[in-house]
Amino acid sequence: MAESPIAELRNVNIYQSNALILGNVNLAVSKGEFVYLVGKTGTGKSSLLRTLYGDLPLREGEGRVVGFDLSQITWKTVPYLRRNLGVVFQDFQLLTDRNVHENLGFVLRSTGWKDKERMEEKINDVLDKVGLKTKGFKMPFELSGGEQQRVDIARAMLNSPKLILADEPTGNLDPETSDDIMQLLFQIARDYGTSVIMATHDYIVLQKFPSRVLRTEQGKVVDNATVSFA
Amino acid sequence: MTQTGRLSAKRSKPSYVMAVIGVALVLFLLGLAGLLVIQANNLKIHFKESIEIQVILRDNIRSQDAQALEDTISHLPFTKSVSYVTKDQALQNYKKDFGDDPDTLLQYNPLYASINFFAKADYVNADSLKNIENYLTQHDIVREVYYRKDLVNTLNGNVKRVSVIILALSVLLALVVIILIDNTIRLAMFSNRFLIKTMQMVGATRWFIAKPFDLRSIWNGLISALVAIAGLLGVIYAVEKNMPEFNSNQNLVMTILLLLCMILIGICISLLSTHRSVMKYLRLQLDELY
Ligand SMILES: Nc1ncnc2c1ncn2[C@@H]1O[C@H](COP(=O)(O)OP(=O)(O)OP(=O)(O)O)[C@@H](O)[C@H]1O
Ligand SMILES: [Mg+2]
Repeated sequence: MAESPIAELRNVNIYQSNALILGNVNLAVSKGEFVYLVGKTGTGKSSLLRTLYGDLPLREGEGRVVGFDLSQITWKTVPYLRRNLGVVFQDFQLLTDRNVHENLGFVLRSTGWKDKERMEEKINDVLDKVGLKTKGFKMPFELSGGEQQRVDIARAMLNSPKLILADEPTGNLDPETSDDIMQLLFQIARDYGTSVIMATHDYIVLQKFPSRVLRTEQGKVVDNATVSFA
Repeated sequence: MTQTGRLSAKRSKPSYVMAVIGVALVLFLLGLAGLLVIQANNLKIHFKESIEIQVILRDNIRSQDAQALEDTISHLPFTKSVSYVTKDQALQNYKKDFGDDPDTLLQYNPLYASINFFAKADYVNADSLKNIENYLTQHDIVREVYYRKDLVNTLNGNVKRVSVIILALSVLLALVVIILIDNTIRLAMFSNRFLIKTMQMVGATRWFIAKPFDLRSIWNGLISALVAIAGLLGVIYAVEKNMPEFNSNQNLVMTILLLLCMILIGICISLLSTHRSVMKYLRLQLDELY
């Protein structure tokens, strides 16, 4: 018997306002698994991710993410769900008025860290993991797009998440930098057993870094398991 | 993302000023109402003892008789102060008050001499004054006794009524202030939406996100209270100068308690309404605030 999944949805209906976006969604993602979420624009990739990190309330169906029952999530408990997740997306950027180190410190303080030394340790640890050990003092605007996205990933890793949810993390990057970021995400999944669900439009990325694919189309989520792209 | 938290915080400052002034106004009115209640007795004494009672004398009496009566009145237990106004003085006063001279028109002075006195507050009620009136009219030289009966009757209810009106006004104003604060918070949260969004995404609790707003609102409430207290002390100073009966030292403990209450209420209004608004807007998508 395998370990229970890190994220699991059963017979879930996802709504935006009152429009059904995705119906009867079933999926399970296990530990250390890397899953792509693809589909045409407007088919509900972001909506699905938002459901997983508790930004869209689960109205119908059952869902469990990193041990939290999504149907029981309230505004009181959603922060604790998110502390066990890492969220990365294109438009969730760094605070521009402070340097990288302070950006990460801000996140730690926001989630209740107090011990200065342990915070320092943690920040250096995640910067090391994303290969930016020496750039902590830089302001966001002094970093390249790829470096900024690495800091985003570092931020997502601060609370040692079991699951990273990434919404088009390579959306703004040139192909080489994309490859960099993809390598980093795969490395994190492999080395730390972190599961990753990543929404993307970028079929080139899928070809270069093949993995399991979930597809949103016509109001459904189709599990292509290991469909290959020729 | 071109805005930074710091920049936008600066931009929304003027509206905090409005909120602070609003709360200060509410507190000032509350303080005024409180002061009225505390000083109600002194105020009543003041007003009662400023009701003039005129003992109007007949014409053609000897001035010794008038002075004798003045002397008698000044020794009666209910008298606070007394003055004798002759026919000539009455005429002068009339000219001064009304600017014309009845003398030239009528060829004689139509005014009466009078002995005017103020009664002690304890005696300024309808019954006692009636007795005083009856007693004084027994004198041959007295024509009639005149005082504003309507004033005497309304005085007792007035202080209470005024403080209730002020209280109602301040409650009304408080509602306006809560709306004002709500608007300020919405603005501040919108301009800090990236900061707040970050906190929400990484799992900060609502209480944590609200904390800086709450702390600031405590300061703002304190500042409002100090402004209102300064205003109230100004009022106390001015009133004391003009009304010797009004003695704030006499109710010093109550007055200090009142000022402390103002601080407490100021912080409460500011903090509670700020916290309520922050929580309300955290429930919405921040991008949809505008
Ligand atoms: N806040 C919202 N309120 C109402 N409808 C929304 C909202 N956000 C998205 N939608 C609608 O829900 C549907 C799915 O949107 P979603 O953002 O999940 O698509 P997506 O697959 O992520 O698209 P893209 O590839 O462009 O990011 C769209 O039709 C969109 O118009
Ligand atoms: Mg999307």
